[in-house]
Formats: sequence, structure tokens, C-alpha cells
Amino acid sequence: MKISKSIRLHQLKESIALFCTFTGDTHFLTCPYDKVISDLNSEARSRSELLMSFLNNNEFDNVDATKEFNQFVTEAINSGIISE
Amino acid sequence: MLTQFNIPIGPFSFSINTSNTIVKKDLSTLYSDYQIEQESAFTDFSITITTRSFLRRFIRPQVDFLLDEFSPFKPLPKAQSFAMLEWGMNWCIATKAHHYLILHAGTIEKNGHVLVMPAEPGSGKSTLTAAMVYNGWRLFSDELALISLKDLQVYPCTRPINLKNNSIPIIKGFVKNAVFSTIAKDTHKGTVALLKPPTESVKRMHEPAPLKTFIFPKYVANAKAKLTPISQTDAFQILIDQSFNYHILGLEGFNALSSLLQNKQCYHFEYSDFDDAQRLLSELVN
Amino acid sequence: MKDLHSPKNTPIADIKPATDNSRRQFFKKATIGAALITTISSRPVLAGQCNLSGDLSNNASNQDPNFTCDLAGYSHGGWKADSNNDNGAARAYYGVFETGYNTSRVINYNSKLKRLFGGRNLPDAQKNSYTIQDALDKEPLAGFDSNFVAQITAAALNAALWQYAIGQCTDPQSQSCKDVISDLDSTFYWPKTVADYRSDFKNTPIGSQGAYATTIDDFLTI
Repeated sequence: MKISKSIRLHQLKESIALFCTFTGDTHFLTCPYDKVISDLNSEARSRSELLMSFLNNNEFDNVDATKEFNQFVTEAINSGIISE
Repeated sequence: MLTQFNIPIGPFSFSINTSNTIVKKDLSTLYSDYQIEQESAFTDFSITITTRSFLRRFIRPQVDFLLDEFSPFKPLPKAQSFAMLEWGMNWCIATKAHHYLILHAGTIEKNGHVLVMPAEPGSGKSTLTAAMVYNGWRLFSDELALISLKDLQVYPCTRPINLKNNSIPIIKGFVKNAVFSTIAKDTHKGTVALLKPPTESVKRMHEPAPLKTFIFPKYVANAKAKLTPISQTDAFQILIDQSFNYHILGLEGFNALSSLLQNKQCYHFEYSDFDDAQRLLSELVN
Repeated sequence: MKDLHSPKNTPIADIKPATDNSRRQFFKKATIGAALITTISSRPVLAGQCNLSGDLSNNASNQDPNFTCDLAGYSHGGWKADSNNDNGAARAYYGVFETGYNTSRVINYNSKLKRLFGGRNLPDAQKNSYTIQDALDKEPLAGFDSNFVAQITAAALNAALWQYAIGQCTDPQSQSCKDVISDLDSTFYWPKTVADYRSDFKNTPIGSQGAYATTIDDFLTI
């Protein structure tokens, strides 16, 4: 997975703002998902690597966190932020 | 008799053609500090206020606003002619000037620092702007913040201030010798009048200045003036909503807002008393 | 004020404009259990001054008084004909124009832009090559701001779609009308048809500070 080519990011104090040049939509991600995008911005990762990093960085270890992470990834793909 | 007024307003030049007596009178009064020319080689917007239908001169008289002979608006009653002109001029800038990021905001300057005050209609920003510019601040605009995409500075668009309903007597009471246009009743916004801008602001209409920060004002009866920090995330979202052309500019608009918010703290601003408001806002730019 | 009824003066019973005045379709705030991404959707422009400019002027001609500022058209991004575009709006269009009731009615994105706007104001060098797809992709068009070209192209396409929808619903009970309604986004509403734009717009010169001219004297037959 990687950040879509059409995405431009800007770090705000408490979130990441993203602009999709393809759709013209503007997105905002707050903690902890801004970190997920920052990670992906540095390099492409597999979904499992990203999930591991997400759980470790936030010291999440429960099923709900994984479910929510997967929900986030789905939304991010549908919004054109991430491409697989 | 058709008269032409060529008026420079900040970065734009308007040519206004009309035989309408109300418009001629109000233009002469409210734009008396401007360098109005009879002829101009260079016009951005050529506007005509006229009555197109012969019959409508006499039967419930109406006027039209024409931009280059095209009418984007429905006709209004003749008594609202000057208000219509001012609204129309706002529309020209807001829909055409895409080398600026344009925000729906009151914009004032002091000590070389600009405060841009985006607000929903009816939040009192025009009244607040009027009170501030007659109390030590320079008027950039009561409606349109023009932020250059090239240098991100704020550019004045100095024009009469649009006040309505209760704001009119409030500002009449607060500003000594305030000069108003003909009052237009029964407009879509209620009773409307335009306030002549301060002479000093008009003289300096070509001087841009950098943005200090964004303030989101709200009149709250009996409230002490208060600034409450707002996150950059929330500010960004409100600014998109209060922008005329963010969605036209696309990535340029996004980059501009991102840069403008860099290292800035924005605030919600509650106020009720103008002197109190003035004191608190001045602390931001001292 | 423009009457949005069909030419036979039959009310369009089922194509309802959005009745909610909020910007709910364009803004979702992240809450627990809800969307995790806050998105502000690109907003279409030029639908009869139905935007903040309309607030300023409070006086836009040809607007239906019951539905001012309740527009919801497809943005230029939504109109893009790209096989990778999973945007729901584009799918709706393909549904209407490629697999719908009259399959000969297809938007050809390779059509030259002049089919929408006439050729009078387009630069000579690009008049016969610049396409609708180019406009939506914001490819440079000499003498024009490409952002503006994309937006006004989307506006014209929305107007054409609205005109088509009205045409299909001369009989609101017909299957073709029901099909249109089910294919379009439920909030789709555009206050002008292409025919409306044709009578509104005239040839205006391009101003020195970027005042744009548009001429719609021909349009893509849909």
C-alpha cells in the first residue's frame, strides 16, 4: 500500500490535511491515523506491516483497534488517499 | 443622462455607468475620497445600472445590474439601486478574481498586521469591522479578504461598508459624523445602508500587508471580549467553508491555506462592547 | 424565476431537490463509530450563483425561489471518465448514459470542448484538439485558468444531465423517469438546463484581470 499519486499532504499542528488533486476533495486525519499516513508517506508498506506499526506505536492490543484500523484503511482507499 | 465613474478599488478598476440619480448621488458621496476619473484606459469590470424596460421606469420602477451587458441578477426596486451596485461589485470580484484566494471575511489592519475575520452572514462581522476602522484600524474590506496566491499577503479592497437593520443606528451612535448612503428598505436582507469608508483607509488602498492571524468573531450580548484558541484543523475547515473560490483554485487554494496557517494560532472571538473588542484585538497586533 | 417543470408543464414529482439546507453531503465529521476521515468534498460552482456569492448578492436571477442554494451537482472530479475512477458520481453517469434506457446517448469525453461552449473564445491553436476530458483534467488552455475551465465544464455537464433528466420525466410515472431517479445521486439538483445557459450567457470579452467569457451556442447532444 502507498499514498496515492494524486495526494498532497500538509502537516498541521494537530492533524494532517490532505488534498486529492483528482477529486478536489480535502481530507483531515487526526491522531492516531495521521501517523499511519505519515508512515506510508515515507515508504510503501504492506497492510500487515502498517497494522503492526499502528498497534505497537499506540500500544493497542485489542480486536477493536484492528477492526477500526481496517475500517480506516477501507475509507482511505475509497477516498483515494491510499492505493493498494 | 448617462454618467461614467471610473473608480480604482484596490487592485481592481471599475467603470460604472448610470443615469440613475440615487446611484449617482451615493457614488459621489461615499466615493468622494477616491480618485474617480472620467476616462480610463484600463477597466476590469464595466458595470451599468439601468432600467431596461421603458415601462418599468414608471410602474413599480426597477433597475438592472449589467456586467458587460450581461445581467447575472434579477432586477431590484429602484430604491435599492446603490445597494444593488455594491452587491454586484462584490459578486464581480468574488467570481472572477482567481489570482487571489477570496474569503468571506471582515479584514482590518493595524501596525502592519492584518486580522482576517471570516464569519457566517449575520454574525456581526460588518458591524464589528465598521466599529474597528473608525477606532484606529485600517479598512481592507468588510466582506472580501483578498489573499494573493503569489506572495500570500492580504490586499485591500476598500469600499463602503454594508450594514443592515439594527447595525445602522448602532454605528450611527458609535461613529461621530458617520456618512451613509440612501437607506434601502425591504431588501432581501432587510434595511440596508452603506457607510463611507475612512479617508485614511481609502488613501492607502494600494498597500498590502501580511496576515497576522484568523479571528472568528461572534457577537454575544453582554459578553466580555474573549479570545479562545481554535485548532488549525477546525480553522482550516471553516476557512474552506467561508471561501468563495477554494474549490475553483484546487491545489493552489489548499497550498495557500496550509501556508497561511503555518505557525499561526487562530481564535474564536466573542464580544459585545466595541471598545472592549478594540482593546483585545489590539493586543494581538502590538 | 425559472420554472423547473418539464416543457409540458407537468411537475417533476420524483426528482426532488435536496430539502436539507445544511451542507451535510459535503462535510462529515469524524465521531466514534462513524467516519474516521473528515472530508470536505469539492463543491461544484456556477449553479446560478448558488453559493456564498449568492449570499452576498442575495439576488441571483433565474433561481427557483424554493430551492435557493440547495444545489448538489457532480464536481469536475466526479465527471472524469477514467477507468480507475471509483467515485460514485462517475458511476452514476455511466449508469445513466452508457447502460441506461437509450444507449446511444453517451457522453463522449473525447469530444472537443467547443461542442459545449462554441468556438468563439477558444484559442485557435487548441480549438480543434482540446477535449472535454482535457478540461476536466485541467490541461492548460491558452488564455484561461485551467481551474475555471474544469469547473465551468462540470457546470455545463451538470446542466446537460439535468436537462436530460427533465426530458426523461415528462411523464413522472414512466420507467425511464424512474430509471433516471434511481441512477442519479439522490441529492442531485441543478437549477439550470443547458437551454437556460444558452439564453443567459452572451459573448463577453475577456477582461485584463481574468474576467472570463463563455459562450454556449452549441452543446453536446445527450
